[in-house]
Parts: sequence; C-alpha cells; structure tokens
Amino acid sequence: MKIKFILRALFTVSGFGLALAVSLAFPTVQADVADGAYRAVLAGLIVLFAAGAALGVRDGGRRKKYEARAPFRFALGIALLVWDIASAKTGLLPLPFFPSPSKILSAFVVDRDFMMENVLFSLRLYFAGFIGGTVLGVGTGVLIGWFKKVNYWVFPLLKMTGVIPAVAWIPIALTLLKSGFLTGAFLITMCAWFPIGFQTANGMQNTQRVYFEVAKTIGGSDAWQLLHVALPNALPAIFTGISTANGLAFTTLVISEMLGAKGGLGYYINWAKAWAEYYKVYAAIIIMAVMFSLILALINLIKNRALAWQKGLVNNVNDL
Amino acid sequence: MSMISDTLTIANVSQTFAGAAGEPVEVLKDVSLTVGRNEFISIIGPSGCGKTTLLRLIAGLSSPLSGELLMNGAPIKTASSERGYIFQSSGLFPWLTVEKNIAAGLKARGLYKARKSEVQRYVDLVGLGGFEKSYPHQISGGMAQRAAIARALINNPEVLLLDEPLGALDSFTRMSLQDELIRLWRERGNTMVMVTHDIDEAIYLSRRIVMMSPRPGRIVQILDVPMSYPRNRAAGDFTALRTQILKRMDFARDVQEEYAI
Ligand SMILES: Nc1ncnc2c1ncn2[C@@H]1O[C@H](COP(=O)(O)OP(=O)(O)OP(=O)(O)O)[C@@H](O)[C@H]1O
Ligand SMILES: [Mg+2]
Repeated sequence: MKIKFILRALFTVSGFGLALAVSLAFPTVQADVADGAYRAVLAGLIVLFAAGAALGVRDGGRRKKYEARAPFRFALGIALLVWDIASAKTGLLPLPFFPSPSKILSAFVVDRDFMMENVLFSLRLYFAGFIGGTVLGVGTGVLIGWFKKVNYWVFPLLKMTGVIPAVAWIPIALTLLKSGFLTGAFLITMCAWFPIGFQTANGMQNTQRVYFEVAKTIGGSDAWQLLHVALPNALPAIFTGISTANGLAFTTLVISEMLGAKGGLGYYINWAKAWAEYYKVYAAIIIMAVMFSLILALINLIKNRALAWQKGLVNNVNDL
Repeated sequence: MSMISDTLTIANVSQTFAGAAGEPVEVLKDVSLTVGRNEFISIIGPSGCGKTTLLRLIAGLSSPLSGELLMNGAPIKTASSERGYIFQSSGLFPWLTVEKNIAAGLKARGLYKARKSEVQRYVDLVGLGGFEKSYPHQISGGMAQRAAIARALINNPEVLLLDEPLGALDSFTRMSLQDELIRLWRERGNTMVMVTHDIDEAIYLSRRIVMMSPRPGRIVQILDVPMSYPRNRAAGDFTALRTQILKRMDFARDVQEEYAI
C-alpha cells in the first residue's frame, strides 16, 4: 500500500516534471519570452504536491483525496507541456493572441506593481458595492417582508428596477456621480440589491404561521417576531439571493471597470489590449479566476456558519 | 363554581369560517364552558368539530364571531405568555438548538439574563439532558414535543393549552409523557386545557371531559372523572367510563349485536 501511494505521488508530479524538463531541454523560438517565472512555478508545484504526498502518508483521508486528484494533476502538467511546445518552443500558436504559459507568467513579474494596484482597486470596488448592496437589499427586503404598506408601494418598484441589468445605468451614473469608482460601486450595489431584497422579502413572507403563533404565546413582541422568527426563517433565502447577486456582481464589476473606472482588472485588461499585450490579458483573467473563487469560498464559509442548523435538514448546504 | 374561582370563562362562543366556495361554515356553535383554577380539562370530539378552533380562541390567536372569552374576568384579546400553547406539531424553531428553543420564552420577555440558570432545569425536567445542543431535526418527534412542553412551561403560564400534544407519538412514549404531564401539573398547579383524540388519555389525565358534537361543534356533555391519581387504565371504573363515553359518542352502538352474528 505504501508503494502504491508513492507511485501515485510520483505520477502526480511527473506531469509537471516532464513539463519542466521540456522547458529546460528545448530552446525557445518565440521572441521576448522569459522562462524563469514559468520554471519556478513548475518547480513550486512539484514541491507543493510532493509535500502534499508526505502529509498524506500519515493521514488516511488526505491520502484518499490526494490519490483521487492524481490523474487530474498529471493531466494539468501534460497540458502545460503541450501548450509550451505548441507556443514558445515551436511557434505553432501565433503571437500575440496565443502566448505561451511562460509568457503569461512573466506578466506577473514585469507588471507586478501595476497589477497589484488594479487587483486592490477591484477588491475595494467589489466589497464597497457588494456590502452596500447586501445591506440595502436585506434592509429593503425586511421592510417589504414585514410592512404591508411597504410591500404594496416598494415591491413593484423593486421588481421593475430589478430586471434592468445594472450596467444599463452606466451613462447616467457616470454623468451624475462623475467618478468611475463611485459609478462602479453604485452599479454593483444596484445589481446586488434586487436579488437580495427579493429573496429577503420572500423568505420572510414564507414563514410558517405557527412560528409566529408560538412566538406570540411565549410573549414575543412584534419586534421580537421580526428579529427572531421572520429573519432567521429568511436566512436561507437571503443566502440564495447573495449567491445570485454575487454572480451578477462579478460581471458588473468587470464591465464597469472596462467602461468607466480608472482602475481594476477590467481596466487593466483594456489597457493591456490597447498595447496589444495579450499575455497580460490572460494573466489578468487568471487573477480574476483566483480572486472570484476566493470570494466565493469566503461567502460559502459565512453561509455554512450561518446556516449550520440546516445541516442534514436540506440536501445541499454546500453548493453556491 | 363561582365566577371568582374560574380561570377561564367561555360564554356563548360561535365561530364561522369561509368555506371552499366562500360560503360561511359554522364551526363552533354557542359554546359555553368555565374552567376552574388548577383544573385539568380535556376536550374530545370527532375530527373537524372545532377543537383546535376553540383552543385558539382561548389562546387569543383568533377572535370569535360572537360570544365572550374571559381569563380571570378580563376579556381575552390577544395571545399572551399567561396562556401557554402547545401546538399539534411541536413548532420548535428549526434554527435554534433545543436549549435555545426552551430559552426562547425567557428571551422573548427579556428575562433571559436574570433567569438563564433555569434553562438547564427545564431541559432536565423533560428529560432532554445531553441534547441541549441538538437542532430540532436531529431529535425524535417525542423529544421535540417534550422540548415544546418545556418551552411553554419555562414561562410558568397560568393556563396551559395543549392541542393533541401527544398525538403523533407511539403508545409507549405517549404513556410516559402522560405521566410526566400529570406530575408537572400537580407540581405547578396551573390550569390545563387539553384537546385529544384519545379517550383513554382524556380519562387518564383529566378531572373533567368535554365532549363535542360533529360540526358545527357544540358541547354535548361534560363528564366528571372522580378517580384519584395515579389512575389505573385497567380498573373497573376506568373502563366503565370509557364505555360510557364511547356510547355517548355513538361509537359503541350494537357492539354486542355484531359479535352475535
Ligand atoms: N382558518 C380557517 N379557515 C377556514 N376554515 C377553517 C379554518 N380553521 C379551521 N377551519 C375549519 O374549521 C373546522 C374545524 O377545524 P378544527 O381545526 O378546529 O378541527 P379539530 O376539531 O381540531 O379537528 P382535528 O381533530 O382533526 O384536529 C374544519 O372543518 C376546518 O376545515
Ligand atoms: Mg385540531
């Protein structure tokens, strides 16, 4: 069994090993490619997965996962190898549209500071807008879900403005707010507001009557019923709204950065494109993938905490 | 019974609901009943005769079409923690643990800080020690019902209204909870009004049994149960009372004849 696991580990890293060997052994034919970053990343991956295997020796659960992921990781290494050969090593894939992995990774080196600046800009913009939208959405939803009058007057308004893609407001928002950052934050707030508000209101209105009646007979005031019955009952729906809003917010973030803001990854992509530096575009897309995945993971973490009481009651607490 | 010692007075109460086609359906007709302090009274009757409707009126969860409901001489207008209510389904808040469900009554009334230490006593009282941190979906139906009872009791309500509290349970759990209910009632001396489908349960627990007719629900008869506690389900006067109720409710007709054929 030990032997088998060691073989699995070797299999896992061999893909990256082969890719590294190819990168070292064959000369690069494309111009302006620095291989350093690429090779460092490959070596890093090999070390990482070797360390993962070492941890797996003692931990059965870890070992299972590691073994299950081996084929995928091997294939990843081979894919890099093939890509490297097709681009940097032979030039089959033409520049500037299809840069080699080493070219893309070199962007992280040559453009590090400017990229970081834009990542931070995107993060600030995202969180400003999304937290704003969540607060506004939950607030509106609570009012709609609790007060009949608000439901009557505001809910139709929310439904009507909610179907408009937030980016349609760009011209107006830019003119009125003057700042690209404020416009972006406003758009993200708008796009998060609707699904979260809608779900909050729905979740509250769908509370079973018996819970309110229980609350009344144990002495709960109206305010107590709102905070301790309707709101917790709406919590799963609120998170559904947040998930929907999140997907919209990523799109809105990038579009607003491309169309108005003076920073952010969307802006960076435009800028790189203007210089025909497509490898930087790819680099920015990779950062987006990582960044948005991390944000999703964070929201999932909060959600699983908040909805721990649903575990075992509902099938998929984990999917977002 | 004099008016003064009556905890609950129900006078000429009628209730009507809108039927499927919007037509008025008479559910309760001219129901009058007084319940004394520290009484244990059961309401029995066929399904749909308005037992829950009557209990909800007493709780103040709805108001009658006509008639009057009083508690200690004052009209019942809204629900209050003076009248605890145990619902047909436990109605535990799924987002709270057993312990927090039981503590909810204290929290709702702003008494939690002062009386926090009592929560464990109520957990133990209904035998849920070890399950304090479980969520409602992680415990059995009987345990959930016990938690619901503890949640109502922690407020020490003067009147406890129970709507088939043990209806969903198997007969063993049911019998042991019946004993618990008697113990709790005798310890605390509150007034119990319980709806049940189970004639034995009514006889085993209550001092008086209110029999209702099919819809529109009217009170057909009120029976005294003079036996002392704890009662013996196999005793002669117990079974005699059961037969009397069955006859009165028209279920025991011609039993002998059928066997004779
Ligand atoms: N809110 C309501 N709207 C319309 N009809 C109602 C409403 N509540 C109860 N009813 C009707 O009133 C009748 C009596 O209902 P109730 O729940 O009081 O019966 P019950 O005696 O408790 O029956 P069970 O023993 O089955 O619980 C039923 O026919 C029911 O359909
Ligand atoms: Mg009922």
